[in-house]
Amino acid sequence: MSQAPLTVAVLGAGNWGTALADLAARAGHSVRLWMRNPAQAEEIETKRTNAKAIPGYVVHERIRATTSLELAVRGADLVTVVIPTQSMRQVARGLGEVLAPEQPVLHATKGLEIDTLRRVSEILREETCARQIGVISGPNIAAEIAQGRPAGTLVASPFPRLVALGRRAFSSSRFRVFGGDDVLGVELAGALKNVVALAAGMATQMELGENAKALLITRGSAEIAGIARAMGARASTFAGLAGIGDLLVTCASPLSRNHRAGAALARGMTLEQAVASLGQVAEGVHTAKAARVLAARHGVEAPLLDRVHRVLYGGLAPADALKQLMRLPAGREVAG
Amino acid sequence: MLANVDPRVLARATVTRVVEQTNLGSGPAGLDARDLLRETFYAERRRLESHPDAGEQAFFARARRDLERAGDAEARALLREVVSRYVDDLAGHFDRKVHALATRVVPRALGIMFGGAEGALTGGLGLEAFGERLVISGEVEALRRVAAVGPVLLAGTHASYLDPIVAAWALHRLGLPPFATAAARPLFEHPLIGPFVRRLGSYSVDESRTGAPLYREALKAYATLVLEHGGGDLVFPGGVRTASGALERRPKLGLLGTALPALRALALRGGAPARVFVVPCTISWPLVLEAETRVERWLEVALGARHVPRGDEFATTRRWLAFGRGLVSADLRVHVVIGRPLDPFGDDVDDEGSSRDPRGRRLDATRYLLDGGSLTVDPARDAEYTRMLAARVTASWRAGVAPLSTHLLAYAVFERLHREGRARDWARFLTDVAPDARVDLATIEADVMRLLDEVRALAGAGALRAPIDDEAKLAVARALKTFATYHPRPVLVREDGRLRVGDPALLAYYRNRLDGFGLLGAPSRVDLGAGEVLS
Repeated sequence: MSQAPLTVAVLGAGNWGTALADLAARAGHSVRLWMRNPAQAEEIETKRTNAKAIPGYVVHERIRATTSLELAVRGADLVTVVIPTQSMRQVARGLGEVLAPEQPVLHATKGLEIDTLRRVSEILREETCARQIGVISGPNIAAEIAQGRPAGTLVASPFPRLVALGRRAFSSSRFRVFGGDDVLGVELAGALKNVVALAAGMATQMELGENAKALLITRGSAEIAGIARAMGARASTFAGLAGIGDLLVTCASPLSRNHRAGAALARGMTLEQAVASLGQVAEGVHTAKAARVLAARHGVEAPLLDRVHRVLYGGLAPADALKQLMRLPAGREVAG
Repeated sequence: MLANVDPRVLARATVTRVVEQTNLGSGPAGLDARDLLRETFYAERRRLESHPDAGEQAFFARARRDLERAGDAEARALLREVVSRYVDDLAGHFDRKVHALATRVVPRALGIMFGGAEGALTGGLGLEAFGERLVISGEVEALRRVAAVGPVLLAGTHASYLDPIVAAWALHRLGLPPFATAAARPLFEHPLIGPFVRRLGSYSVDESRTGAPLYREALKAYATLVLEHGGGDLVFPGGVRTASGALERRPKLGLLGTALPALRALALRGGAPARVFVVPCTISWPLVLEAETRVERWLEVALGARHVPRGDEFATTRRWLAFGRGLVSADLRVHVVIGRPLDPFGDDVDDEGSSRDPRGRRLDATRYLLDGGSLTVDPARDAEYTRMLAARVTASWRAGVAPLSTHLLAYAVFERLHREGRARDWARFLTDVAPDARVDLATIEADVMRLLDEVRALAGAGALRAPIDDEAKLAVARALKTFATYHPRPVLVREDGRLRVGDPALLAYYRNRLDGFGLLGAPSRVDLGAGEVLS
């Protein structure tokens, strides 16, 4: 593979899209950053800021902003999609109008489509001609990465060429990009971890201590892995960056939306109040439903994920949920 | 189409292709000639232990010695020699007059099958009589249309050595030119059917040889070249005939994967838009000639049961005749369902043969092979594309399953025994429970009625085909009559308002055809081991 700079399209100029665009630009590639909002594109092109996404960040000179999907995508060596899950299908449909069959598509979106429980790679398959599809996921807080602090991530795809492209596009001395092929496992880990983050937020608010939080994270991870394995994912994925790595950072960060939503619930707020106080819906509020359906569909027991669901939708108080969980019979730790 | 291709040209091109693809150093495909030769010799040695042949043994012993002393030029010559030998083996039975004869050959072969050998050989049965034995449905018009635009790889389900003959007859009935056909070696050697198969344009696939890498390469190159020369190719990607009776779920990628390089070669040639089509095809047999030996194989390999040899029906003329007579006397039909045409990547294609993305937009499928602006070979990428194709072929096969009365009755009886706790796991079901098991006929008829309702609902959603015998009593009666015509131990026997299980292994075999559709609330049971509880 020649080492000439790549043309990388990044669709979505939120904080993670902007951070990925910055990584690619700093690695010497030219980046086309697509967003729907013309005012935001104008701000990037003229002031070189993207204040709403990452305050204080100066947009790299190799990043060009556009509101035209066609201009962003046509001829790009790699298309990276960083769009909120619930808008994914609509953007993917537009992408399908301009994408060429040979263009590889990497997505960096964690979540499942609410009504269909489709994973993002499935939505991309359904809405476009893309075949070389992959996912990039890991413990990646966008603000830290935009500040140039060290981090690592995983690019997974059954297409080795796409993994190589993803590594080439985003790797640097401060960003380690590992490769894998378990797209299903990575996508489920990224989506379902948000439910555990809600629980972690509750635990923090309830001042249960670090032991309890570690208990919760580890068991939460085991439950997610159990569901994913029943669906065909590999267990080892959950020991990696996109699994336990991402879960750790999500549960450790008190500023994450899911964490704050969990804390609000533990303070006695209803779901509606918690959502109102945040000003936006935390992803875990959706994925708690998905987790419950998937666990039932595949005959997997997931008591922790189930209790989070009941706190959100069944009127169960977080303190009672905790009591119930602590009273469950504890069997062998690792099943299978 | 293939009628214009001299098989000897095809054979020579195949040898050249395999030799070209195989470099002495580590080539782009990662294939090293010496390694391939060594692995091939090892596989042949193992094979010849169970299939002794003095001539073959002498050849490979000599070749093995030569390789140890060979310089690069000698190794290359040896490679060509071994590949040529394989290509002769594959295509050597190809009769040049093949296609002119095909219209007469196929019906006569079918006559033997369905009329009994004596009948056909003496001209006892007219063409129409056995023509009626085949029911062809599904995307017939789409197949005709794409076949006019480009070569077709017809991918059939595989239960019986007779499948290639049935599929060839179906193509003939549809007015399509004959396809090259990957037919198993025993079919060529069969005393009754062999002469016809050789003239069908078949190339022989020796299942015992597929462990040898150079044999596999030769087979794939030959099949690819058939398509490149514009010929249709009929393959069975399941590899071996189903042993459990269930539809194949994990097709092998080898022969399915020939559509992609053929498309690439045609695209590199330029000119008209390159097109190669893959058309899935489901063949449903009310009775399977080799059911007994196949299910024994399943019991032995998958379930670890003790092997009880029952003899080989295929080699036994008496069984063959009984089978043909059974089909005729019970007025049975073989159902061939043609699936929607796909491109080599598993995309749908439209009436003009253009590929469509999942949203129905036209796309140029050859672009999937572009990298840095040129059409490339990328084994990992191409294998992944072929896996995507295989997934669509498998789904299409499922949708094409015709639920025949024998499958419905076997399914209902098995699930009834399971519900009554008499089929807790395969091992106990097969050895202890089923041989003497009796079920109430009226109960089973009610179960079949329910099953028919569920099948109709699934068929309405396109998940499988509508039932042929649409009424429960009729379906049960037909199934009992069918079972009684051929198998020495009838699968089920009617005894005073009850049904007795006569052959539990065959009951499982015919039941398994409908496995995995969720019928009667049952999960898939085929992949469970002998002692695992049938939940």
